[in-house]
Amino acid sequence: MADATLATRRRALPSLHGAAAMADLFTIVCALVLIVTAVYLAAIEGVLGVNINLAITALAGVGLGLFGLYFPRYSRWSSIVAAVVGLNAILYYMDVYSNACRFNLEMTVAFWVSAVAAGGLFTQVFFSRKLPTLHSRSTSKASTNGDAAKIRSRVATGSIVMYTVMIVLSFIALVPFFWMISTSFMTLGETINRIWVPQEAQVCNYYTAWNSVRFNVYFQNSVIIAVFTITGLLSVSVLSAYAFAKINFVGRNLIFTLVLATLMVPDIVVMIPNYLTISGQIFPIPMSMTNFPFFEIGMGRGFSWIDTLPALSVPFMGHAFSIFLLRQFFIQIPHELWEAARIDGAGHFRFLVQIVVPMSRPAILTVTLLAFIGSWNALLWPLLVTRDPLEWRPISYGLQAFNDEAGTQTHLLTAAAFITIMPMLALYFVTQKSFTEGIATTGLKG
Amino acid sequence: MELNANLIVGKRRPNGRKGMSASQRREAKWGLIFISPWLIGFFIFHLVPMIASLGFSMFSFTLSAPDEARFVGLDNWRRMLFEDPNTWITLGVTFKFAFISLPIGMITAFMLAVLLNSENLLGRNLFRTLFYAPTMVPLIAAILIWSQVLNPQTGWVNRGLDAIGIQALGAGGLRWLDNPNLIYLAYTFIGIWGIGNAILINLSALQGVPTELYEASKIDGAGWSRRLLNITLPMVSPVIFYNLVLSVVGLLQYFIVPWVLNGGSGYPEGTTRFFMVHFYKQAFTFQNMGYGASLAWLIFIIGLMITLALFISARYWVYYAGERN
Repeated sequence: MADATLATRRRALPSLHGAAAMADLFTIVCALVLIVTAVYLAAIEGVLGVNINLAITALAGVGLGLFGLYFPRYSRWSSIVAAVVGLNAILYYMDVYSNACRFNLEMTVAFWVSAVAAGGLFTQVFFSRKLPTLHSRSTSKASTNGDAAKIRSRVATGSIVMYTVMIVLSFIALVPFFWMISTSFMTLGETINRIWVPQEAQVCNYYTAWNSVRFNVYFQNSVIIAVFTITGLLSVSVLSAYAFAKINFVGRNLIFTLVLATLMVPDIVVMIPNYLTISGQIFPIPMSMTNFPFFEIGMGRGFSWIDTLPALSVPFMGHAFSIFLLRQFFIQIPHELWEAARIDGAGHFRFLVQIVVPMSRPAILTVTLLAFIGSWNALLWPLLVTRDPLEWRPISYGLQAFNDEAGTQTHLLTAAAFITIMPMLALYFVTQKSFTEGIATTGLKG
Repeated sequence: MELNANLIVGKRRPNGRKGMSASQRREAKWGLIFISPWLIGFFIFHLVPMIASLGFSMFSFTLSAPDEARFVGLDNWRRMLFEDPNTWITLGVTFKFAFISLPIGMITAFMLAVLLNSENLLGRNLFRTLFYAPTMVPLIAAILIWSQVLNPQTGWVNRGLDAIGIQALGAGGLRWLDNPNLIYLAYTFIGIWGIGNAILINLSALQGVPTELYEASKIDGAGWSRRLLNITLPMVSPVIFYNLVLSVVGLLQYFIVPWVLNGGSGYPEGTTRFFMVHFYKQAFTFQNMGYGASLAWLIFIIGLMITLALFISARYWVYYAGERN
């Protein structure tokens, strides 16, 4: 019996390797395509000075592609980010060069497309293998019983009441989504006439909404802000979380308590001074536009960060919850690993980069996703520190502006809302396994 | 805060001697290097601004004319506490909403987590994914969606209720966002929709409860409700406490929803004039930075007092499994 399983395992191994190799090949091809596209876009649009945001997008694409090529281990993540960046560029082109939209979808076709999508999603979520994690308490417990027997007993004991409750509740949670998707394909008349589902799916609503308030600009801004914020936030929080978890130094407890205390300070207390700092009223801040070329994207307004990228990203880089979450994860990494690494001559930094970070992928992914949510949702602070409506305002502002402009046209508004939400949902459904595991296994107790 | 420091940080450095050895000094150096980015950010964006904010509250100072700033002592504070009726009105509104929204939100999150943690539930992953999905929706989009779903004439909520047989449409129907009695409930719905983080945090705590406890209590003949009250609740009370503190801090700054829905006008009948709306208008619309700073400090003090009270009360109802020995 044992021999047979071993044999199958041996047979399974090469094919698994093949799959991995295919995946790597795929990411490498993606990266190459992205680099070529990005260089092309940069050459045509950005460098010639037509659109500087696009140049940054293109350069980011190049950087991410190169990163993926040099570090195949992380190429999947860099290619996801690069895909978002590339999509952004493609959308820009769609926006500029396509003619008026004349494309609508038969409802039957729309129905089957959405049914297939929902089915794929369901399969992906429901039958997905659990990721191996550092702290797999629940998985090891579950795997002790026979799987088939467990499922049978679960079905036998599972009460109908609970399923009814869960299905009703999840239906309530999803109703707004259904409404939004349905309405976004309606005509204006249909939105008023109390219809549940449109007769013909008006795909053009998305085109119209996208072109109404320069969503391309806001979309680009939000992507760039998110990339900057997440990069900074991860660097800051991984470093400090590691220090809190693995380095002994005087005042560690005190500083960690300070980190947690910032969670309890309302943002409103620091809002005015931070605004004054950012706008250069208190002291001339470094890297303000006039003396730091890369950020000289807006018009020079003296020593301030108003209407610049750092104003929207730097204040969010020291995120207490991220530090807390990562620390909880790092602290579970056995101390023996550090001893072994030190004997091999590695310092803290090398140990962190080569061992701790790869081991903590679920936690880092969770933090990344949370940071992305925060950055994509930000509205109040970006409104304060930007004056030019098109310079650096994020997509939330675009949606609000669209609401002010076309609030009565519900079908367009929902299409715009769905455009805003789509990147978040896509990212979530791609990463949700590691994400829910990331929070669930980090042990937030305390 | 003590709770976190002691429980989370774990054992202290075993250090009997006064002076540090070379390796300890090296450790300290690396620790400081690793932490310095956060520390710098903390000083620039948290600590100094907090003190500066207190300082600003003593000045009369508008942004349009920063040179005319002058020291007025406690004038701003006197005006805020005794002369400006809006302070107390908006605080009252904020607290009223918090008293309605906080229990509903926390109980929903906890009960959903209990259901999601149930051993008998097939497809836990699927439900977990579904319940978390709304949290991914940007707040502004969620507000716009809900304002339409709650529309008295065409919204799906009222039409659904009407289909069941409840009179929701028409003149005598449920006008969620126009009726002063329903407005807080409507806002609570919008908030609950994005409750996924609280559910996940509760869930992680529930998964940490040792199964031996449940097995032992089953042998002793305890029922479902008794196990929930006597085992589950005490074991996850630290996380409930954590959620409570963060919810209170969040609710004190409740702002975006009323701001987007009615531009801070307080419609209907001033029921949505939250404190933060008042603050935002004073500080950034009228640019009374000095007065705004004193409002900010007032809410900070109130939040601090509530947090402290919660920490003191935590001794009586928060149970730490590790501490009882």
